Amino acid sequence: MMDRSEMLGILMQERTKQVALAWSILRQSQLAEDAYQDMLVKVFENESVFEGPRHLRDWSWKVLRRRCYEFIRRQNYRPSLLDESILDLVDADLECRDADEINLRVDALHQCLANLTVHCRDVVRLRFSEGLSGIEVAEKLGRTPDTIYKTLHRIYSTLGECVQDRLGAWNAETSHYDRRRISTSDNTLSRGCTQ
Amino acid sequence: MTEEEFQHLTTRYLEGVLNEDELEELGYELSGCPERVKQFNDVRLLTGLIHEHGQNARNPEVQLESAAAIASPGWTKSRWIFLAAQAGLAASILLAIVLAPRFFAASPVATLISGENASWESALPTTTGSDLAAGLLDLKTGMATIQFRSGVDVSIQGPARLELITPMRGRILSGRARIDVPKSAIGFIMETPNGYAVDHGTEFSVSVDPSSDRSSFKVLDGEISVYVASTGENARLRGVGKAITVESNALVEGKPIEPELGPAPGPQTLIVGTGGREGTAIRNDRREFIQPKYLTVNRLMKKQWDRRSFFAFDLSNVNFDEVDSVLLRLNLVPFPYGLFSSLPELNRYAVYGITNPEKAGWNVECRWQDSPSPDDGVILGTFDVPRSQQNGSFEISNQRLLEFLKERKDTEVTFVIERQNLPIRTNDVPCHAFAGVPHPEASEPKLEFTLKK
Repeated sequence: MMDRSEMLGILMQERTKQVALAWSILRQSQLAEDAYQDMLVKVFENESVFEGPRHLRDWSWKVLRRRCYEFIRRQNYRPSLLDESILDLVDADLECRDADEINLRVDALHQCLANLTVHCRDVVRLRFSEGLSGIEVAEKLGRTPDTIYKTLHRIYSTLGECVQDRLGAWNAETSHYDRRRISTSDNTLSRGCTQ
Repeated sequence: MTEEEFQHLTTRYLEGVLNEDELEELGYELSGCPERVKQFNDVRLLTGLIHEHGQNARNPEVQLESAAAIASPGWTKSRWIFLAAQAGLAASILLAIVLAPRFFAASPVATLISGENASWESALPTTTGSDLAAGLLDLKTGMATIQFRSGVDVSIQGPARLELITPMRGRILSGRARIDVPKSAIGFIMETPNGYAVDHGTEFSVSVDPSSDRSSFKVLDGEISVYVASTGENARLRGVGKAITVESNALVEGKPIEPELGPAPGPQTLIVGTGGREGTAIRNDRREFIQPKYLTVNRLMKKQWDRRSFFAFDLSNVNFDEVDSVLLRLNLVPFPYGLFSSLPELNRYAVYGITNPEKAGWNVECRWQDSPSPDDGVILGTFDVPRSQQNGSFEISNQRLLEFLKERKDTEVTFVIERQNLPIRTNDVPCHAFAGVPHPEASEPKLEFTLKK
């Protein structure tokens, strides 16, 4: 049987990916956080059943996913979702991402966020920190919702590219890190969010 | 599809604004290409990262300072900052697991200072004296007073939903509230779904009726400004009793919801009861376990104790030419046997309208095999009962129900109610019970017809 600190270590490695999963299903920060916390409660209520790290990891993903869909059902809140078979496909890929890769991305993200324009930072703050919907962000900033969706798209593109560049630079500097390229895009996506 | 188009589609998916065609298009792209799945998850991961680690963006001033600090010594420092934060977070979680049922507590924005017969449905703590982080409070019944950290007192009366945003900002989503703003909190904003009031040192009330998209603001003492959220149109209200309503994205003066007037006269309704034509059947026909005051429903893994209930309405006095809509109401009542923890958190009930003429003349004490069953009819609607709830009114109202009744006007119509899900435990599985005619506190199933004006 694993002890709690060992379990926590495993769950912490998965946390960002799992929050991403919950957020992309529920689309609301508070709900996503609640679903994640409920999953943690369930894990520690059943701490004696886990046979090893893999069992715990698999179990936590299943519980979280189920919890997210329970939230949707209970709250009569029906976001548009992909077909179940596609969700299985993309969620399985997300679950398999390397946890070390996530930590490197966090470092890069901190630096890349600082390069966003004030407007883009405002959008990030309202959408993610204050948990407003795209429509509410648009109302707050006096823009149309479509403008906000385009801005979010630019933010994701800019941050994705910036994170990718920094990871590439760090990988070149340090020989002890895996040299795998992490982001996929060699794209020519529009900029417009950097200062 | 270009990469940019795909990423834009992904962004709009995460915002929940894709239509059916776009969803299908996104699904098609993802199903055939592992690279697209990776791109899709890159964006998802980025949203998770921002959600989790994007605090820098929350405060631009702090962010600029920390960005400068991070930039100068190189990436290793930021890595140490991250590792330290990660370790701190892990320690916090461990502490939270030991000490409290909730984790990652955010800074409190308010305190729950009193509750009178209050019943809540809320993720936030609801014990008097609790610190409240940003989030939603859903007061079902009773009264409660919340003190924001700015000193603002907000008293709500159930049913009401109040969202706590910051110490200087709240949002009433439904119901009524009295807001008392001390001088130290002048500028406090109380939002509603379609408007908001900025306080200039006063006491005022807000009343929100989401069904009519109407928010009313009334000055009880002092002065407020009221804004329409979508247009910015605004008005300043000075003096006791001054009121304004935001309705259809416009300001309408002099339309407060006055308690002296009471509710506006509603539409005329015609209510039809069962008149005692109601019963319950048990699969093993042990009728000594049926009490007429309960219309009980159960579904078990071992089927012999399955129960279903059925009831009928005489439609001979209903003139369907005058009927605009109809609602079937069932009143859930406490059932004193069994352990509700044996049920799943949500229990789905289906109501069927009987179409098989052979089951029309059922006897109220009929055996299981003679009783009307879902196989004898058509499904008309479903509703969910949380296992934690043992009181309340549940209703079905839709066009299917109305058409079903219209096709059977001047006759007796029968309904059957069945639980659709199984329990999660095998022992001590309770029934959910709906009131029958003999029940002393709640009324039996009713059809409520709303008549045309």
